[in-house]
Amino acid sequence: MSVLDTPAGRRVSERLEQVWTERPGVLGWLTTTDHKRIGLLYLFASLILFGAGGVEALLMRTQLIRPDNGLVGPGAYDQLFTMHGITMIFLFVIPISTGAFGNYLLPLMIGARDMAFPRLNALSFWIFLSSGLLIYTSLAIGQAPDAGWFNYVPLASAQFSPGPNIDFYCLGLILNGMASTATSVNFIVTIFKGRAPGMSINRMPLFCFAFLAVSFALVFALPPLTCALAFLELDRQVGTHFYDVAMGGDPVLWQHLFWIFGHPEVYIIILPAFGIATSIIPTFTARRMVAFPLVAVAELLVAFIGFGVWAHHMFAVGMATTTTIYFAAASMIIVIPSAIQLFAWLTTLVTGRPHFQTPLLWIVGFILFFIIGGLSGVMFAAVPFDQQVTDTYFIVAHFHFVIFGAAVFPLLGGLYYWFPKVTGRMYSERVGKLSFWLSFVGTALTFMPMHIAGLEGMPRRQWTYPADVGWGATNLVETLGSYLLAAGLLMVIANLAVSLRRGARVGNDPFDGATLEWATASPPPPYNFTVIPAISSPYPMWDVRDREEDRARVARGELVLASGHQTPASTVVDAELDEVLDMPSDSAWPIALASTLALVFVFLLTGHWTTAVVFAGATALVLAAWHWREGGAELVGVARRALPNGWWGMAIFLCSETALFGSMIGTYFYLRFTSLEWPQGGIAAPAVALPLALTALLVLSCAPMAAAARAARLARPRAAWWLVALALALQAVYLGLQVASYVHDLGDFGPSTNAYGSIYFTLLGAHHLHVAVGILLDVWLLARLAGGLTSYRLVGVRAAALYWYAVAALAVAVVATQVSAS
Amino acid sequence: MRRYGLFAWLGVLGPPFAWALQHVGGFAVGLADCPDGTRGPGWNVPVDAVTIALGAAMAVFAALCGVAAVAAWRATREADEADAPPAGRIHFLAMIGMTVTPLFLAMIAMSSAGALAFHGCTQS
Repeated sequence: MSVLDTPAGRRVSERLEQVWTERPGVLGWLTTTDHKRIGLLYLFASLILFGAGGVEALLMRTQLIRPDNGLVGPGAYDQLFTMHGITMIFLFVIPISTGAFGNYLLPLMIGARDMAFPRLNALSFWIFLSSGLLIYTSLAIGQAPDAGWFNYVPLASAQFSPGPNIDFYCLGLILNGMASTATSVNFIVTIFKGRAPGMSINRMPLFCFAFLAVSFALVFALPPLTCALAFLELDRQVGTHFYDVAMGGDPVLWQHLFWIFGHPEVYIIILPAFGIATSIIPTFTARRMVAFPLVAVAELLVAFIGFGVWAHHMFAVGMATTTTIYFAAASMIIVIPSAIQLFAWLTTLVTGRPHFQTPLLWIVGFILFFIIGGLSGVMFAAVPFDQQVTDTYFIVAHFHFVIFGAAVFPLLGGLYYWFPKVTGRMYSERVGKLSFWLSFVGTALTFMPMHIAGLEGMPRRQWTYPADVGWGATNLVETLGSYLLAAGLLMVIANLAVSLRRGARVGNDPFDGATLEWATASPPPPYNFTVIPAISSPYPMWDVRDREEDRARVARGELVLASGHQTPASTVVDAELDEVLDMPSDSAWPIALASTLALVFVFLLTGHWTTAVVFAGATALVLAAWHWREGGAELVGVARRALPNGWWGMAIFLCSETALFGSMIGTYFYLRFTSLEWPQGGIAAPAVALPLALTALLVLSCAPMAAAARAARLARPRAAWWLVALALALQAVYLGLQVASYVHDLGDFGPSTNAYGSIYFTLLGAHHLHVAVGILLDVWLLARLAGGLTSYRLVGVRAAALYWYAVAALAVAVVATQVSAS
Repeated sequence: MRRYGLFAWLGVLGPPFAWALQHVGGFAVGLADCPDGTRGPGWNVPVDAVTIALGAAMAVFAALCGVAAVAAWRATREADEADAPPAGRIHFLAMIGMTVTPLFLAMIAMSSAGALAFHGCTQS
């Protein structure tokens, strides 16, 4: 019997329904902040883009069906394979896994009523959609990116790619990265703070461990990519020389920065699949996962070690052997956490009572393909083998088994598994199984022969091949397989689309699932749970006494939180109840902000820089207006035991910013190590006395900020106001003198003088920009504190103080580069 | 119990930290003295010696963290991994610490082994 079946449960639900229901119609979807609706928006957008990427793949396969084919020319083929890669990785797999599955399921699995930052969640989706539209505009005008998904320089430089194709790539992916970073920050804080009381870290579902790992990986992996893209765009538009070897730059720098992102990206893609597998297997075997702690840590380990293997993509570059061994070792060891999970899945299957319904079939297919892709993957850890097959179809075979077979199969299994939860209807089991088998055979036929083609020497990205090289038979099989695969995938969509209207109605828990999403109605109501559920294990739906406790809580009116738009916040590790939060409801600000931000990127692309600056200003104004109106005016924060959501959000965001500066400072030293002289081109070493003194001033300004945060916690708004004002004065002096020094240096040399000038001015400019943003934040705080102290403003002061600590620490790191060159 | 809580976290976080430090440090040392093996004056860093010394120091640190994890596990061996905190959480984290320690020790050892088999800036 569910909570809703009791009279008390029905009364509470009616009240919650009134509080949480959003606007109806199209306007409701445009302004929604409900994680489930945002998840569905991600799902539909990413499936449409999946269709586009699929058509691109079929066009390529059709071109390669026979030797000397002329369906598409080499230029169009270059655009096709580049767009296929970008689409599948950035616009399909990540958004559907994190955006759709993560958004929809994560709050449900942890017993929360929404994400930690619902409006940020909406903003992430609209920015993601903008990036997809921007990137696909390039295809519509015949100027799509054409240098491959990893876009190596110098091919991607202005000299060899003068059109806007690469600019679409750079700016589109920077925008896309913003969306993913915002999503990741939101997921981490939601998992840290949003878990229902009782769900301590050792009782968190494995799905959540996987998404925690993915989110941290994105937070640290995206900044190097952003850095690489910004450098390339500066090289192309401003004339800097980061990758220009003739002017002291280094094309290999792109490879390092790209793959520091690119390899963790593989795990970012596949970890949600692991999370889905660890949800489906226990349900269809009626057995808890074997080796729960080891599987949990394996998910985190894969993400962590994934950061140490990037250079195995560069074994053919010519690095010192001593260096390559670091990456070969990590590439071998990373197999172990993957194997831990693999054996745990297999052991659970073997020792449980498996029912091979459609979702489990996809997971079995995933396991088989993961073994194939994993085995060919570990072969690349052997440096001599890697050097032999680099840039051949063997690589294409390997990563498609991993990225399609292992990453997408669980997503499709997950679509079937959670379809009844999302729609309240059951899919057709018979058609589901047929769609699996078609897709399974199609995948094997498409990608398995590519191993052979690769070992026979067929290079990847070749638009055609002559008849006498003997690659015709394998390519024919691959193309036929791709059509079979497309038929299987279309059958999945058709099955779900038809079942949406004609499927049999189901109850809350048709599969006897283990996790909390099955505790609520199908589809879930806007408020998710009538009562915040009781938790005493990672499989709460199988704990009968906890579900009885839910009914008792409803009867007692305990943790129903029906007096407003409320959700509980817990402590990070042990999930003890800390406070009850008033959550924001639907809002038009996220879509407005995403629109102005997207226009900034459009005008950067078209070279209308002044207009871009105007829209950047408009974006800042929209942001200020968004945060002007606050909910929950009373001051409740003083009683808090744990750090608030806003503090954690800022902390995780600052991790991302630190990774960005780490990438820039790493670039500084990389260029320095590979240069015969430093500073290059006879430029005088920078004077360090003034920068050191100013950095000391900035560090000093942290003291009044810290005191302001303390005063705010003691409910002394006037003292907090004056302390923030004092910090602001010191920071303004810092910025003014630094900008004067920057302008003075520009008189001697510039960003386009050589690579030293490029990194010198970019690094300093980026830091000054952060100081300027911090000053705007202070001004906003002063304006708000003048009206008194609220819970919201208290969090604002604490988050701003944290921001300044990080900016001051980064100033020390930046000034160290100047000192090291003097 | 609080002490064992710290031990458990040390076991979870220490070995990855040791490996990360060795990995980044070793990569930087190689890069500083072997800039693609072709350009740059080199910084006269004894690559092999630094690689081995760094590896040894980090291996010792990781091993000590592993010992801390074992101590935390022994202190909570009566608990189940899904028990309520603190005992359940410490037991859970200690198991994780005991799992990650040998993995990171192996990686540290394998990475350092390059300096024994190859010399300085030999290109692969």
